[in-house]
Amino acid sequence: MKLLYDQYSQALPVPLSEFERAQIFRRVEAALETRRAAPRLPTFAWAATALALAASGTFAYRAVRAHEPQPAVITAPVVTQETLELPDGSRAIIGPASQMRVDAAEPLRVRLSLLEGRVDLSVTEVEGRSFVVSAGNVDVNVLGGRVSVAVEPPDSLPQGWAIEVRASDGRADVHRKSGGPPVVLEAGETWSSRAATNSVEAEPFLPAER
Amino acid sequence: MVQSIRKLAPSLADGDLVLAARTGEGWAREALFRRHADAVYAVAFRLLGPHGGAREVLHDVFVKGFASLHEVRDPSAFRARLLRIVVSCVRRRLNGRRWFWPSFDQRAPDFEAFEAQLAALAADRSSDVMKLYQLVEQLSAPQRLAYLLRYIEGFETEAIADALDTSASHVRRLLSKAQRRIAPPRKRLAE
Repeated sequence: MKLLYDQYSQALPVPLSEFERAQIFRRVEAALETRRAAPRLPTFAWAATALALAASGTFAYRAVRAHEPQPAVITAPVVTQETLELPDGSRAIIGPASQMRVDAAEPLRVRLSLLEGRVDLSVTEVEGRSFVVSAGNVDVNVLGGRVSVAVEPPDSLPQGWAIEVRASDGRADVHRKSGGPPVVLEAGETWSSRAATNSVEAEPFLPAER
Repeated sequence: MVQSIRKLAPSLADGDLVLAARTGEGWAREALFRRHADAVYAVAFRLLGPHGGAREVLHDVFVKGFASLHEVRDPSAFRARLLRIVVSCVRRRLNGRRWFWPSFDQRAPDFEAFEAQLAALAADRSSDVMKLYQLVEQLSAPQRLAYLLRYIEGFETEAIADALDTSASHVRRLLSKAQRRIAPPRKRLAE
């Protein structure tokens, strides 16, 4: 093996010819000349450029974010209710002293968060549209018609969120955020989180009056 | 200018030529190139093997070497610096090559040239060298470089560590791993 190595390292490669050597040297000189004509930026210049790009990117991102519509929280006065017309033609009547946030209001996607109090919805039936009201630990998917949702936050109740959903003459699905099968409400039915199970009762809706 | 090279090159040491080249003297650069080009080319050729590209490496090494002359702390150690650049260029080429020439069987453009040069060796030795490179192809780039520098170029561990810009103990580990992977087939090759 040693013989192989010695023989190989001594025999290879065939040396460059004088012509090849001169040719490569000319290319080296040309490359050096190009480098001299366009000197490479020093490291600190690259760092400064990167920093400037990052800063301008952050600035642009913030500028864009500043013009994005932020979720609006609507608080109804203590004695009167607030009516909200939505882009899909639906209407939300926010009960007295209630608080609701509009997360999304687009023709094919409406998402509202009822933070406190009650909202009466009159929802149009639109094919492919999603209309969800988040209330405490449930999401109410309103399919259409008149549906009311009432919520009491947990800080005033020892047993946690108190939520009631009533489908007066509409249809809605109640989904627990923790999972599980949805509760389907048909016209005239009411669902309450105070019930031990996901039972649906055909009893009068008890709004969280204030 | 050519006359001055002939007069000065034999008498001037690397250190003097580097100092002259730093001031922009073209004749000093040419003298350095002529003095070291063959050695750089030979090392690059043997490290790259059948995949070729030694001429390109020769070009790149001298461009980098001359462009960074002002960084040379010890001008008399110019040859050692060139060797580090050779290893770095070959390593980059080997790493990049994996994407283009994933296996030994997929022949690189310079394969025929390499075979032609091997023909200068005796026929049986030539096939042995090809077998050696087939084995070396299985190694990672650092293992391959350490192995070839040690057993083809005959470098000591410290010199390899300097060329690979790593520690001597790391080089010993690389050599040990390379030998473990190559030793059994190499024994068969020797037989």
